[in-house]
Amino acid sequence: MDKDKIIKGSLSTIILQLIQNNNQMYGYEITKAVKEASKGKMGLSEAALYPTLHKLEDEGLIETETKIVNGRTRKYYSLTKKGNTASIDQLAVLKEAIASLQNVLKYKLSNG
Amino acid sequence: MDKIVLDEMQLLQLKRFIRIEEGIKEADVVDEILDHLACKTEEMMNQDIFLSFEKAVQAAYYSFGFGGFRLMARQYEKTMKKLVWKEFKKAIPAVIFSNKMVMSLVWCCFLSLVAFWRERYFAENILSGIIVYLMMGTMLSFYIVQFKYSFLAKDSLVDLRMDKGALMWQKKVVRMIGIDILFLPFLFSNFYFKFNPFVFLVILMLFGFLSMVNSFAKMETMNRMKFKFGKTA
Repeated sequence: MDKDKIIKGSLSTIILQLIQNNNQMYGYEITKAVKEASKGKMGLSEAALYPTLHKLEDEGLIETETKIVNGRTRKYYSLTKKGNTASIDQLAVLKEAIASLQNVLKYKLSNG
Repeated sequence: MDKIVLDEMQLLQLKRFIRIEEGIKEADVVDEILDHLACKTEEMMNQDIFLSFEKAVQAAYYSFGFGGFRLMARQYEKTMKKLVWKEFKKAIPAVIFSNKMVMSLVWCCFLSLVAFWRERYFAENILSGIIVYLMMGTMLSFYIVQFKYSFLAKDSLVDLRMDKGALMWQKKVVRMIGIDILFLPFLFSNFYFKFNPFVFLVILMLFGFLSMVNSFAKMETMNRMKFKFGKTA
């Protein structure tokens, strides 16, 4: 099964958490972080990343700052106050979902 | 060995590709795609020093997937519209309750009273007066939001984005209300004056003025974009 499909549903949680851990990140750095942290097993496509980032910005969870690096404009994303709380909440929900999923996968009917 | 960093000419080539061949016009999105493409290209070239710039760009481009650039641009457009909508919501009450607008409402009421005195159509007159008042107020708010952002700090990306967003909204509003405004004299025909050529002329002049403001603001935005890309493009 395609692993990318699994992370798609929790993309905003992953992005918020990554930005929270690193204070400030830019788009390419986020895709690279996902790839490196999962040792290449998980990939975050650009087509999924940027629309999600813009959506989060739209919801007021992240804010942007631009800097000139190597002759080009680079947009850095950081969490807003609202984003900080959302990140914590969403992570708790994700962890709970993973725990439930593990229980479901282990489940056996007791009187079967 | 030093890391490979794209030079100005290569960046220019990438920017050309994004703007002209891919048709992405929004400066903000172009910048973001450019940085990402450049980072990826640099990484690939650093991993394999024999890889040519063109081949590296091609591989980096494919990672965006089919229609990837467009998807970004569309989401960006939505974000901008929402940003401007927020500003716009703040501007409406300020415009509607401004002195001049309230004076025009008073004037509408006065005309209605005159009409009532002569022909006794008070309810219709007041209603059309209020409709005209709200329409004008809404339209003016859009122009004010746009005006505010087209003359703010010249390098600020946020202001440029707001300006773009306001332009997009404005196009929508002009499309919606712009044609209706020509029918305003007929709304006024409920008043004592049946069809008033003077009112028609005033509205035409107002419409002309607004389109002038519109094209002026557009010119401003385009100039600023040129200024922004002037050094490299």
